[in-house]
Amino acid sequence: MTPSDAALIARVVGRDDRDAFGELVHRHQSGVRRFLRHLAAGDAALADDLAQEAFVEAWRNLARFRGEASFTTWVLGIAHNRWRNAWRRRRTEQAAAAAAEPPAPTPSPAPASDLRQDLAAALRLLSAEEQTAMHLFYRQGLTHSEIAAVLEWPLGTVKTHLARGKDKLRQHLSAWNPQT
Amino acid sequence: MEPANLRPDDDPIEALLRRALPPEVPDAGFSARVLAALPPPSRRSLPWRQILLCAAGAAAGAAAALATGHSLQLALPTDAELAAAAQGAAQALSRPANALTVLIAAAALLYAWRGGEWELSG
Repeated sequence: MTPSDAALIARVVGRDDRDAFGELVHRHQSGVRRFLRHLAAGDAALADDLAQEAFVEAWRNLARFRGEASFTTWVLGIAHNRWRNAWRRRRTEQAAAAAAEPPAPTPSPAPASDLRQDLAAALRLLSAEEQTAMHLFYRQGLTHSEIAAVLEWPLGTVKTHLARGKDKLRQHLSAWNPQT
Repeated sequence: MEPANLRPDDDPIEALLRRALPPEVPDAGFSARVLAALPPPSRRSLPWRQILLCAAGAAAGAAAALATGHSLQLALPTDAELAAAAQGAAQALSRPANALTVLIAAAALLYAWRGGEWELSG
């Protein structure tokens, strides 16, 4: 029988069981790395470095994990903090405003193009906050409350970003559905 | 190829977002790298700080006792001896230097009892 996350955490905290922690990392690495790759705009090397740091930090602080949220939510929150710190460092180092430039105007989807490609392009046109909320909701399967916990946003802000993001997607992709 | 005209009640955006899950990221040695990056297992070294503080506290207590004219004895004291000792201790504690010594001893013992939860800087 596969041990639950809670059982593995108890083994790590109680017995310094590294194999149990390895199993936890193995279970959750995909979600954490996918989230960080999303935040890092596909920079897999940076995302993996941050994911590794996040898991090591999780190891150090596992005794403080109260189990009020799921382990996924908790470790995604650590990963998000790591990303924020890295982004701040990078911003001060680079001092370039290029990253903050507004995205290019939306190209209207050609009728022959693929809806998935257009969706991916349209997602990139959302604000960073909207993209992150959409990623966590649709791609990581988190609830509104879990997203609020991961990003340390008020629940209302999460709902607003999701609703706005979806509205914008509908507008950008209206060519696919002229009746809307 | 997706159909060009989708029924509005299908909410294709929602459906597509839910369907278009990115693939799982294969572990490819990531978990092993994380385990290798963990700090080495902590060999429970002797809590020298607590031991030192305990010894200092005990020494301070013994010094305070000897300073009040008490001798160390191994035999169990009688009630009268205990009462006399208590009276002597009360008198001794009325002196600020003795009271401070006992306070330091108590603080050291408390620190040792808490197992060094309060990290001192350095």
